[in-house]
Amino acid sequence: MGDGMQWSKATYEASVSSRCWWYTPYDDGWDKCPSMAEDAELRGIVEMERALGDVPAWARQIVERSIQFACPCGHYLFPRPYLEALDAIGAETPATFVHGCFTVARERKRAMMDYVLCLDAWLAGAAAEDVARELAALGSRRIAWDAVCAELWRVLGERTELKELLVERLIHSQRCKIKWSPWDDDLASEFGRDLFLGPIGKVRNPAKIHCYIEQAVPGFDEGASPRVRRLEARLAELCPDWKQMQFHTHYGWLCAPKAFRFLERLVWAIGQERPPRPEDRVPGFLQIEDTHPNQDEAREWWKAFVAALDAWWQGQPATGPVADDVARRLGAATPVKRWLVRLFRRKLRFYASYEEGLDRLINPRPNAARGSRSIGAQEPK
Amino acid sequence: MSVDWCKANYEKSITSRAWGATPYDAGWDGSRRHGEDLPASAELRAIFDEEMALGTVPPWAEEIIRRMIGPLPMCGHYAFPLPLVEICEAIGRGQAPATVHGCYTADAARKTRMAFTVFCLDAWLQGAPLDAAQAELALRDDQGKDWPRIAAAVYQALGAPTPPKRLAVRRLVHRLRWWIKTLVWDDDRRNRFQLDAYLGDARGDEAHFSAYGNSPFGDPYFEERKPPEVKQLDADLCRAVPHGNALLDRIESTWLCAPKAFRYVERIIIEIGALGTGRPPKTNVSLLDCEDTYPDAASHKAWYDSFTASLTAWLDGDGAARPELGEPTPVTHWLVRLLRHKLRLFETHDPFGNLVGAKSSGKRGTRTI
Repeated sequence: MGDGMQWSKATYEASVSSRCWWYTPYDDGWDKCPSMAEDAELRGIVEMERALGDVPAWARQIVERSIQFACPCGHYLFPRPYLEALDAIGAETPATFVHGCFTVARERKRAMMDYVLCLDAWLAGAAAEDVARELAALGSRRIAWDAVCAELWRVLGERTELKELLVERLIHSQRCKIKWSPWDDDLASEFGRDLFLGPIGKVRNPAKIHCYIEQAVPGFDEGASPRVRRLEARLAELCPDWKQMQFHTHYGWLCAPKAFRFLERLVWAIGQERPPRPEDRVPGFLQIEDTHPNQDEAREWWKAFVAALDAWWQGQPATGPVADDVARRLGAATPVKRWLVRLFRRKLRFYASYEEGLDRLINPRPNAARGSRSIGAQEPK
Repeated sequence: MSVDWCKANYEKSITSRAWGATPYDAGWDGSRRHGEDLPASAELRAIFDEEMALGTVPPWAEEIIRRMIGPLPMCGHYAFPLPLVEICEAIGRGQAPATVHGCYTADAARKTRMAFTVFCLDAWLQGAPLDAAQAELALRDDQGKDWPRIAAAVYQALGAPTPPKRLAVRRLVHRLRWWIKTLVWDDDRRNRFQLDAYLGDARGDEAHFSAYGNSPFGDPYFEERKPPEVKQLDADLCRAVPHGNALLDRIESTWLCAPKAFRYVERIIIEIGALGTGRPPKTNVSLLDCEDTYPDAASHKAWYDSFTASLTAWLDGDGAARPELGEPTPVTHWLVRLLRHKLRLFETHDPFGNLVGAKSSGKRGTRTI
């Protein structure tokens, strides 16, 4: 140990390096996580930090914002959230709005609104071809809406009270996500302005809990909406395994890489009048492939990315387009930046191992439906 | 070359296409039933003669009649005098604008304001506590209005929910959302609002009615009635509410482009609140703090009197009376004379007369020109 550092709970907890482990086992703290004492990499990171003397305020804030709230599933704009963390380090400027969990740009909201329109039309008793015509003219994406709508109507099948209530509940849930998921230019203030979707103030906006956003963003308590309560009370009477179905209609975050695939599976299950099951083999019918990153590209990108991070903080050479991009974003190496990158890298190692999170994106299962969005695709500002 | 003033020649003229929403719209033989005698009108005959003297009508002039003067809003439009000013500018420029600001057009600010009103109705409809609706509205600083106070007024006017009231509010909300979705503007081609709500065929019906100068955005009035959900709602409403058909007709007539749209909605809310109470609705109160959205009659009358006087002066040869028209030419003189005549018919026969003061009535707003 360079400065004779005692590797202990007190040393760790006094460090800035201890402030970024949200969504990892280390978030439980030293006492509940015995492996921390054995983690030579973490120890090395804390040693690096101590060697800096005082950690600059900007670096501390990057730890507490961009590294702490790095997105564990990769985010639908993968790899943008991770690259933004590097941008913050490179510019030595902490972000005021971390694009991570529960944050969604308006383009994605628009894409989901098209599917909500389909469901709303089905609920209103409209014909599939009627809504397909509207979407062909006004939809945010140029896909074969006639086929999508025809399939959606077919998948939902014969109308029953249960299906109608489930679709109504699903629409409400998606409209909530569209309304309250923030972005730089939309602090839950731009969508659904004519819709009461639940009282505000009783719950915090999840993006304010699981992301760093400097401005105020209201939270909406969808479950406290009288309409939702009425719907769910009836659904509890009608729907087999309602608790499971309720879970699926509540969730399906719009910020997740495969949010639209989740919707597709859920709509298919509603057609069966039961909750989705892991073993369901649901054929694609919503033409949503361009809404999630291509996992094979993501896998290759990730390998290059983490190799570039490892090389960069150690001052070793790395080549290739991803390494060049990493180097460009980080700028001239300094001891503070090296420490931050090493810390970030350690955290990402956890994320990459999460079977229900980033691992699914960067290590796709052979039979998993593939997205078509290229990793280098243009992203919203 | 003189062309006979007769039914056949009149019906072939471009002049004959300019009279939407006037008694002349009933044609050569039908206008008398509506209080005008088209064949006997010396002014119309003079306008017809001016057209015939042109020989050929330039396409831009025909377009101005087809897209602007013909479908000129008989109510005057909430953005009055924009439709009239726009016609004069188009005549002077020799070109119709890309978007005609007439029937079924409204800007984003007006739509947003109506969306907030719908929020109040939606919250009441769902049984949301007033303070919950107010808490969200308090975050909105748009348009300098005290929205929590407006929500309280709407809740108070509607009173306790009953099945007939709920049906009526559901129907009203659907109709208002439809207007928000389908009215167009320069930056809104039915692609900005309510994009996740299916409320009817958003293309409207141009083939049977019109696009009011903004093809292909067809008349939206009837399409919203067609979805099965709405048909059922209408049937339920008519069964549950005494004189439900009349209320439904009023709900369907809440055109957001009309000068007193917000006042009209205000009255309907009060009417719904009185359902089942046995008391007549007290409609002479304000709920929506919307006086600034509808006309100050004196201001509108003064502007209009000055405008029509300037048209007459211009037609009499004073090219400076309306600079945007430029110096008179045979084509522009014909168009302006036709416009002036149409406005005179509007004053006498249409709600336009209310707007410009000739037969002004009802609650006065504060919107000045």
